[in-house]
Amino acid sequence: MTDRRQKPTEGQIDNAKLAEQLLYSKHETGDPFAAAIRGTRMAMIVTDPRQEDNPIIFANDSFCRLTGYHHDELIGRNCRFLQGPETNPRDIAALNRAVEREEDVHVEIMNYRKDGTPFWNSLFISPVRNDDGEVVFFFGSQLDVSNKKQTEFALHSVNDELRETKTLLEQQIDDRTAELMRLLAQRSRLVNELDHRVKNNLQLISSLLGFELRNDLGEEARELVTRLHQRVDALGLAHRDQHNKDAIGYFRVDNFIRVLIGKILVQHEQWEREPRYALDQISLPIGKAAPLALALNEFVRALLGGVDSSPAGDNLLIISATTRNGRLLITISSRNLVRSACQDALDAVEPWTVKLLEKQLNAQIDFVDDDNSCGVVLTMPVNGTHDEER
Amino acid sequence: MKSDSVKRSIVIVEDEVLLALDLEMIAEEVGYSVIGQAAKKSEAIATIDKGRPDLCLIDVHLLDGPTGVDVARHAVENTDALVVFVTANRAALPDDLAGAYGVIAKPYTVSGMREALAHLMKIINQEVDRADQTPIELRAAG
Repeated sequence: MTDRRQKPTEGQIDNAKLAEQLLYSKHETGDPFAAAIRGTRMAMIVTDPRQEDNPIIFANDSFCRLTGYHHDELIGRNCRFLQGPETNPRDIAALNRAVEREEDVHVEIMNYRKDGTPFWNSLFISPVRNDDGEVVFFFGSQLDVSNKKQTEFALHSVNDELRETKTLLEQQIDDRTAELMRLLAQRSRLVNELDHRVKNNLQLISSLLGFELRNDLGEEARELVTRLHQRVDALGLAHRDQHNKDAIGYFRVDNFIRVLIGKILVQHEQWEREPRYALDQISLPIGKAAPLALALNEFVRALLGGVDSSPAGDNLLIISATTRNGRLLITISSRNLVRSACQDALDAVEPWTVKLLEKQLNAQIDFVDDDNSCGVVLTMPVNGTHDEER
Repeated sequence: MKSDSVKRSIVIVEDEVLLALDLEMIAEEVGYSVIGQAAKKSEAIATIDKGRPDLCLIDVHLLDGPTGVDVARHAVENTDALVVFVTANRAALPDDLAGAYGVIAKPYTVSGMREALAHLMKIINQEVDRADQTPIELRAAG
């Protein structure tokens, strides 16, 4: 950058004279460009960087109207008198830097009128160069954007309010969530506690019956208590895997069948200890656990008991569980079973078992009889309601 | 059951008197000698320290709260006893089972418990690998 106090060249002097003639003149000249600048509603000034402190050398009427100063009060002064206490130093620095570097700049800066009222000035400053590339003027245009700024500020404050409201709401949601989580944990503890109690009580009932069985009972009484004991145990087994945290409200039919059959086979030694299983992974609503457990217990024991006296042949039990068209099918069969034995077994089953199956599980029992094996199949809707059956 | 001249010994830690009694009978049927029962933590630890059993059956919830876990840890760390939980509250157990060998879930059946206790005796007598054919009571619970 050249020293502003250097002696101007001939060309510079010519330029300055031209500018002076164009811009200062209060008289109409023939130049439409100069007339336009003087007359435009856009406030404009020209400063001369080659003079000490880069003073204003021209200001149009709009600039005077905007700032409240008369031409005479403006010419020869640096523009900084427009700044005031609320002017952001960062905006001033941006202006100074641009002038220093001879660059274009746009800032929205807080300025003050002669009467002291502030306004938001959308200020553009551009260097004007001569043919040699030297900056001979700075051209500035000003626009009062107070309204726009006000809207901006209003938006900001609305935003702030929204942010505050949001924070408040989030806090409330957090509090509410924490409360719900606490209640949920409390509920889980309660359910867990109840589940624990129920299991313990089933265990107690089973143990009480066990005590009776250790006594010297008559054959009939022993049979009776044994049957009761087995039923309570079947209930217990169905209950044992409930309240599994992976599927609350459901119990796994396949797991239950495996455990129940295992228990029953302990008491029927003429059968192979491990049946051949084909069990799909099936869950049923927990409400079905008890009736299904009781019914299966009765039927399986009846079936196995029915052939206690004929241990010949293939003593492998074949057990499958699968779902088809929304219905659960549990099949229990063996090559060692014949139709008549199955019929006898079903006839021997207590009437309440059949009622339990029909009324509570909506289930039915049928014979399966093919070339190799014979047995029974229990069919019931997976979800239990008539709607889901359709 | 077991032909060893020295019977394997067991301590039953259970706050329900009837269940403890039932367990005691089952254990005796299987061939264990029952050293003692305990219904709360201090009692259990004293019984285990004094009796040095081969097997401890421990319920999680005792008279003084869910202290069965502490009892199990004590037995695992201070004795050679095989420790097995017998509980209706699997969820209350820590992931490492406090170092216990396994869990028998309540409600158990007499036959299931018998089978489990017989299996545990084989383990104590080192007649089976621990990985061998775990009975369903222990397996289902674990």
